Amino acid sequence: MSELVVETRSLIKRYGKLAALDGLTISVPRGCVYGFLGRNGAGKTTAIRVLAGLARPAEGEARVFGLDPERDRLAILVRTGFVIDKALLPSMTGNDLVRFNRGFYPGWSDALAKKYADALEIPMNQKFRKLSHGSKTKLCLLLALAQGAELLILDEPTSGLDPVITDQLLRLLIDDFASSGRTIFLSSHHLSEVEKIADWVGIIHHGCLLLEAQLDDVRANYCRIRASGERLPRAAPEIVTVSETEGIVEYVVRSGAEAFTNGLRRQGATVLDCHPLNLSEIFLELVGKENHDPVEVLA
Amino acid sequence: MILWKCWRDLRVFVFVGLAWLALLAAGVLSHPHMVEGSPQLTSSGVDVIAALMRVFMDVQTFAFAFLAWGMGTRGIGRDIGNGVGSFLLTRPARRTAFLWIEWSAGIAAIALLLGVADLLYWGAVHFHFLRIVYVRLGPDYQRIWVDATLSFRTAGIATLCAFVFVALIFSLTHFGTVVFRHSTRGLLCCIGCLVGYLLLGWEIYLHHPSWSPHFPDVLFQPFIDFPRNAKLVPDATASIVERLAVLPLFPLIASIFFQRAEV
Repeated sequence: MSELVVETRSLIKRYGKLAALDGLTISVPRGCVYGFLGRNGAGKTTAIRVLAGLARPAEGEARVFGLDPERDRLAILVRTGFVIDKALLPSMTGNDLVRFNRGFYPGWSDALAKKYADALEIPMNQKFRKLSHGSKTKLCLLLALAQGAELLILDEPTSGLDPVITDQLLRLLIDDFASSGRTIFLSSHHLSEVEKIADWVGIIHHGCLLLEAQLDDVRANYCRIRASGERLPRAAPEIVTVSETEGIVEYVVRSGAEAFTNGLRRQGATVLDCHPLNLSEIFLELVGKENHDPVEVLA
Repeated sequence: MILWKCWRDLRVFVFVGLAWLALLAAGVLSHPHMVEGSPQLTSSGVDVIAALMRVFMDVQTFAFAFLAWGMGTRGIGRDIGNGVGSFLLTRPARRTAFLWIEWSAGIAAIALLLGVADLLYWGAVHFHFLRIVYVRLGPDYQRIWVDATLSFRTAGIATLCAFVFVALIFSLTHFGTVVFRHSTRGLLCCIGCLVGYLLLGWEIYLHHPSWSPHFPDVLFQPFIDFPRNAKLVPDATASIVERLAVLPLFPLIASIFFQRAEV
């Protein structure tokens, strides 16, 4: 798990005065399912466009398989399946799109394409523009899966899909792709879905990475602590947020919850409870804050 | 793959072009002079044949220019405008490959339709007319009546000039569509450039005649008297070569722009 498949360093991308990416640094290890989380407009799609060579960063660098997306575009694209806009050639049917796509990829598998078309019940003889939103997404995914990619980069693959199709797609990604040791990098703001399949998460806000860690570590380390007492601390390196309601102080800490509660007790505080947070709660705590601390890497 | 996509994009225009040719050819070939030959086979009768051929060549040049206008709006520029750019440009192919292949396919389609149709049609009339003259007047009149009016060299040069004009319309529209990523804007770019070019030429001709810059005609007429006794204008070959050399500049400039464009 040490080799990085996707890596960015201090990536900056501006659209006019707006900094879509503001020093983004991420590291995606080989073989993981990396959930790239952020609110709408956080910079997820821009980061993916930079990785695909569709947009150029103003500063910083990006690497996919150790290659530069701008200079070594073709070498990256032949090994990577991108699903970004979920818009394919509207006048082509699914079969036409398979035919069009096939010639670009040496590792293309017609058998896989047929298998996914059957499994996902995609009407392959229907023109793309006439497909339902769900079928369009499934077809995009089919093309990416059948090309024999080592890495899938998916931008909001489940947005606008019903829970059944979402579940179907996520299972497919895990059972057929990630299980063979290949890497998935998917952006989303549907935290529950990411929590189901990801083993790494990166949380981005206003173009900056707020958190990057293995999901298990995140779950184990982030805790909510409620305590009451006099002159309780308001700032410490491990505190993410602190609030007080009716004499009860509520902390969210990013690490060392046990040591922190012991410290509170030593100050005479009564610790009411301490429980770990799930991904949604962590996301809200991090992204809901006005001023963010520097990036937290728990790996 | 890209070529196959080009064919899918352009095939409707090819079929419309073929249908148009069939219609036009049927109309001209069914003219009484074409069916029976000139009643007296006099010089004025030959003029009718010549005039018909000229009308055919002119009408079909402009008809193909309209087709080329439509053809130029198809392709990667329109696809990007329709939101398909992130799909197409994440296929492992050079960006410029999309652009050059679709430009080449368009040029080939125009050349094929215009060239083959012109020469086949011209040849059909030539041999039909030749047969009538031969039967009625004998072989001595062949050179006087037929070769002078319906020479294949004349047809070839006229077709080449028509091709250059139609290909220019296609290239300009394709260029505009790629640069503006929009079909309608590509069309307007083509019209704007042509009108602007003509107005600039007129402005200089009328108000600054002393500048006397060289403004080549967009629709180059290589003959003084076409098609009868067709005589090439001075420097016709250079003018045609000059215009042919301009054509690839459009995809070349577009590809420089497109190579660095963000999608």
